[in-house]
Amino acid sequence: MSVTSRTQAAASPLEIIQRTVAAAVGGYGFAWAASVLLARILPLTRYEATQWAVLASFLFYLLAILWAFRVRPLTRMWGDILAPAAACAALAWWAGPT
Amino acid sequence: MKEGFRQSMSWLHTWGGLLLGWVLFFVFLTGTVGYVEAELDRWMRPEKPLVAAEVAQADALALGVAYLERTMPQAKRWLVGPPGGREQPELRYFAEAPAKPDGARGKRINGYLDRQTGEKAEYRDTGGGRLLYRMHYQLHYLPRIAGEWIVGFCTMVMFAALVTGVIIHARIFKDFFTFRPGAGHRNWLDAHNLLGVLSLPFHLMITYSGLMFLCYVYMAPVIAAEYGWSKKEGRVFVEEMFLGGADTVPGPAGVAAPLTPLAPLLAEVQHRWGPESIRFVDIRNPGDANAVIIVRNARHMPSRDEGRLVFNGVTGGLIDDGGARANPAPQVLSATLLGLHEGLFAGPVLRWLYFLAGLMGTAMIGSGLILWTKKRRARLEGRFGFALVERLNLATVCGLPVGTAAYLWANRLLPVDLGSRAAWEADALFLAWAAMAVHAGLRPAARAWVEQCGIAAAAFGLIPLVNALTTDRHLGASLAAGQWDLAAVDLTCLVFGLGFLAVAWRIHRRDRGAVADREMPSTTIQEAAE
Repeated sequence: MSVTSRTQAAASPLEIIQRTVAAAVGGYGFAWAASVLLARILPLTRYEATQWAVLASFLFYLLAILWAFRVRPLTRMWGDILAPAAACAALAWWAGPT
Repeated sequence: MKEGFRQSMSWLHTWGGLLLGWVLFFVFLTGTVGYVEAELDRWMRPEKPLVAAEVAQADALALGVAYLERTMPQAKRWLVGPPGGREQPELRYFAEAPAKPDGARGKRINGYLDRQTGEKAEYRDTGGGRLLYRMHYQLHYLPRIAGEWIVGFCTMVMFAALVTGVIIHARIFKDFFTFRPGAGHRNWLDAHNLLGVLSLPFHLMITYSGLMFLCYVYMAPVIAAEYGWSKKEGRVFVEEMFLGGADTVPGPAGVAAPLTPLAPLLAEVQHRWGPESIRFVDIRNPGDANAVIIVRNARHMPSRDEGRLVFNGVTGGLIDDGGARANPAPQVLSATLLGLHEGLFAGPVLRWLYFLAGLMGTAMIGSGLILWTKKRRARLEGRFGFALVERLNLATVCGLPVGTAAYLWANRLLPVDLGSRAAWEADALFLAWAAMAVHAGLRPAARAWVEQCGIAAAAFGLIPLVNALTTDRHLGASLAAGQWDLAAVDLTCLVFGLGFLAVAWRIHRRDRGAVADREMPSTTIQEAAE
């Protein structure tokens, strides 16, 4: 059951809590991993790459928040947030610090 | 766009907006006041002369340095800001003693001096406009860190609410021209949309750039992943950021040497920047062989890159004129975002626009909160949750403005010699706000709106009168002297008072008429928008 504005058939509290946690915490994790990856692949000085990554981090966070409330089944929602986060973190780890 | 997507975004917009809207309303209102911070500071210190004497910056600087020589001859740093312009209308000083043997920071002093005599100037103890401005990112009564994180979290939700607002608002341009007054909750929806769309660029800029101010705190782990997790490693990032622009000031040599005369140095500054162009003169290690004098330009740029000159404090030779410095692109971008957020560069017209855009943002949030109840009244009226939201809305949308008016009343009515007076002024704001919240909880909702709008009308509308009864800096004096920054505070309060009066009158008449303003059956935001 997706979250909709048909409040008569409101989403269960458990679902809302899960999506909120996924957005706030999972989204932050994704934003962090994606930003670190960005900092590491940008062909710039360490300072410039990091500063660009910090500027972009809030956009990554925003995307994750929207996504957490968009995806239909809850199990898929978790996967859709955590899998990209893990992939970014792994790639960033592989790329190593600039 | 798929309908399901817009629906889930609408859900996020509605509930995120509702739950954090009350904090965001506070942040937007106090932040908007921040755009007239300097004018309020002036208004809240009526002891200041009505018309400031004209003095040359060089003369005022000499007075300031002489005062610090007398007051703190052994210092690590003297800083004197000469009077000039809106941001710094006064002769200001700051000094810091060398660190104590145990490494603790030395004593610091700061205050204002009379620009003609160089003696200490005393004003009433007040938080001024500055305190309201600080509340918009630190809140109040909370540890600074807690306030900053709460505001940061709310700002992120605001960002999401703006973007989801655009997504669910599919016909954004068509609805731009849609306003249907008197059509039930739809006029609230139209107002909310109009306020949102009209100043959407401002809202997006202010929200994203708001996050930028503390991005190194909020996103510290991103920096840590690149630079290391220890505090010392974190500082390397800051050092690299200011590379070339840093205050590369050596420590004291421990060898006494007289400070170079300021006059030739100020002549050189004037030659480069033109007359009366100094924000402050920052003297490091005065009286030491390693003395350095840094002069900052008084102009304000959107990029926050105003320019500075660095002189040797003993020989008076120019060390650095900033010519060789080129900031990296991302630093220019983030500094520009901060500069746009603060709007310090804005002249009178642009400043009014900033103020209006801020008010529109505040009104957008307020109308969104009210819209939530309007749309659900038919279905949910009588439930506890609905009543709670309705009362909280009233306590915020009317109660907080009454609180800010109370802040100004307290500035005029509290005894001038009251201990911790500035803190009492702030307490007055929150006490009045709390009283409004209690009132909202006790009275029937419809009556409470009329009554609180009436209270707000009186609270703002009477400020010019209170001012006239307690000081001689009233409209009669300020207008006659052409002191528009002072008069504008009184006049703006008067306009707010009349605005609240008009709203109170409108609600009163509508309730009296008892014309069916019943809500339409509940609809989704999409249906209403289409």
